[in-house]
Amino acid sequence: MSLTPSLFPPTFDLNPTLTSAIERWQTTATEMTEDLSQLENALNPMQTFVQKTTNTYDYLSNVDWMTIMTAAEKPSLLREVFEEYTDLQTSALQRITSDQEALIDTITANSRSAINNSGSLHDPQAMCAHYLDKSLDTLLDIKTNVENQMQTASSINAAFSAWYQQSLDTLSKQ
Amino acid sequence: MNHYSNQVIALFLVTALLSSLSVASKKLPGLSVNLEESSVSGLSSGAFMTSQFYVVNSDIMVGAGIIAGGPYLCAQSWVFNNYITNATTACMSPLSPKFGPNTPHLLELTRQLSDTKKIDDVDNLKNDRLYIFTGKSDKTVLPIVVEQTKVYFQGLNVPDSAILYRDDVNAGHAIITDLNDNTPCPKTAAPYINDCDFMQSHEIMNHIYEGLNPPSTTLSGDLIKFDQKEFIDSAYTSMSDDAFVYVPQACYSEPCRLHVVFHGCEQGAKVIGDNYYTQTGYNYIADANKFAVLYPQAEPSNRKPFNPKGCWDFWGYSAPGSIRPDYFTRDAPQLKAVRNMLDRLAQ
Repeated sequence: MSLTPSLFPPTFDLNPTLTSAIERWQTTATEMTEDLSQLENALNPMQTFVQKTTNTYDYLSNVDWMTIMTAAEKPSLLREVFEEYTDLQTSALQRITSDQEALIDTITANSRSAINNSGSLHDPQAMCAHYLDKSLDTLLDIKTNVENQMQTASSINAAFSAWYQQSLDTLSKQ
Repeated sequence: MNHYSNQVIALFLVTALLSSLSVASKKLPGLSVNLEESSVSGLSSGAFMTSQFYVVNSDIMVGAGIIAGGPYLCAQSWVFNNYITNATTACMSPLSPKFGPNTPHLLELTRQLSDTKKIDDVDNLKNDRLYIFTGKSDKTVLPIVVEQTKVYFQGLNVPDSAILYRDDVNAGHAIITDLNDNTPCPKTAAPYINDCDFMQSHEIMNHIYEGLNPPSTTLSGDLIKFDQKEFIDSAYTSMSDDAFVYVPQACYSEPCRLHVVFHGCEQGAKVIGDNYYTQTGYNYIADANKFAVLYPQAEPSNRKPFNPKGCWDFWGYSAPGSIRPDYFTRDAPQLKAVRNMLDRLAQ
C-alpha cells in the first residue's frame, strides 16, 4: 500500500436525480429573476399617480357637494352607506381567511409529502435530491398562494375605492 | 480575380434573395369579403377585445361571442382606481358583485362615445345576436363579472331573446372543444383550451347566424400566414409581425362573410403555436358556410409596452405615457390595425 497521496482526488458519480434537482432549482431561480426584472419594468408610479389624480379631480369637481352634505344628515342614507362598508369588510375578511386556509393547506400537504416519501431513501444523494425537489415544490406552491393573497389585497383596495365612489353617487342623487 | 469576385457577388445575391423569400410572409389578400354581416369572438383578454371591437365597429357587426370577458370599457369602472387596477380587480376577480364592473357608468360612457362619433352608433346593436359564456369553475374572470357583460348589452337594447348566456358548464378559464387531448373541463391551465364535450366555436357561430350548415369534416381552403405589420402604425401594440386567416376555397370565387377571432393571454402563435387557430373548430364551420376567419395575433412584450402575457389591450398599455390612453375608440392602435385588416379583406 502506498503512503504517497494520489495526484488525482477520488472521484464519485452524481446521482442523476440530484443533478436533475439542482438543474430544476437553477431554472426556477433564473425564471424568478426574469419575473422580478419584468416587474420592475411594469412599475410606473408617476403615470399611475397622474392618471388617478386626474380622474379623481375630474370626478370630484362634478360632485354635487351641497346635495351630499344635506343627504349626509339623513340617518337612513348614512346607514345604507355604512352597511355597504360593513359588507365590504365582511367580504374582505372572508377572502383573507380563505387565502390563509389555502396557505396552511399548502404547507401541510407539502410537508406530509416530503416526510412520507423520504423513508424509503437510503442513499445520501437520493435523500438530498428528494429534499431539494420537495422544498422547491413547497416554495412554488407558497409563491402561488402569496400571489393569490396579493391579488386579494389589490381587490380589497380597489373595492374600498369603489365603495367611496358608490357612496358619493348614492348621496348626491338624493 | 474579376471572375472570382463576380462569383462571390453572385453567391451573395442568391443567398440574400433566398433569405428574403424564406422569411417574408404573404400579404393579406383582398377577397371581396362582405363585411356587412361580420362577427367576432374571443376568450379572456380576447373577450374584452371582442366587446371593444364589436361595439366600436357595430355598423358592420351582426353578433359577437364573449367567452369569459367583461363589458366594454370595464377598466374605466371606478375613477379612484387606475385602469390597470380596475382591469385586474373589478373586471376579473372583484370582492363582490357590488365592486365589479360599474355597468351604469360604462353605459353612460358608451353613449357619450357614440354621440360624439368616436365609435359606431350603439343603436346598431339592438338587432344583433350575442353569445356570452362563463365557466362555473372559472376563478380568473369570475362569473359575477361576465354576468355584467350580459347586463351591459341588455342596457344597450339587445333583446333577451337574442342573448345566449351560458353559465351552466363546469369549465375553467378556457375556450371549449370536444377534443379528448385538451385540458380537462374544470381545470384552468395553459393553453386554456378545454375539453367539455362540445365545440364552442360552432355554438357561437350557430347562435349568431341562423341556418348554418354543419361543420365540414375536412378543410377545403387555405390557412394563410400574412404580414400583420403592414396594418400597424404604432410601436406599442404588442402585436406580432404575422397573423393568420383561414380562407375556404369558395371564397376565392364568391363573396364570403367574415368572423374575427381574438385569442386570450398566452394563446398567441408565439406562445402556443398553431393550437388556437387550428384546434378550436372555427375553420371547419367556416369552411362549410363560406366564412373567412381572421386570427389577429398579440405577443408577449417585457419592455414598452409592458405586456408579458401577450394579452389584448383592455386597460391602455398600447398608449404608454398617456394619462387617458385610447385603447377603446376606432383610433385605438390595436382596434385600428384589425379594422385595417378587415378593409383589406373587403377589397
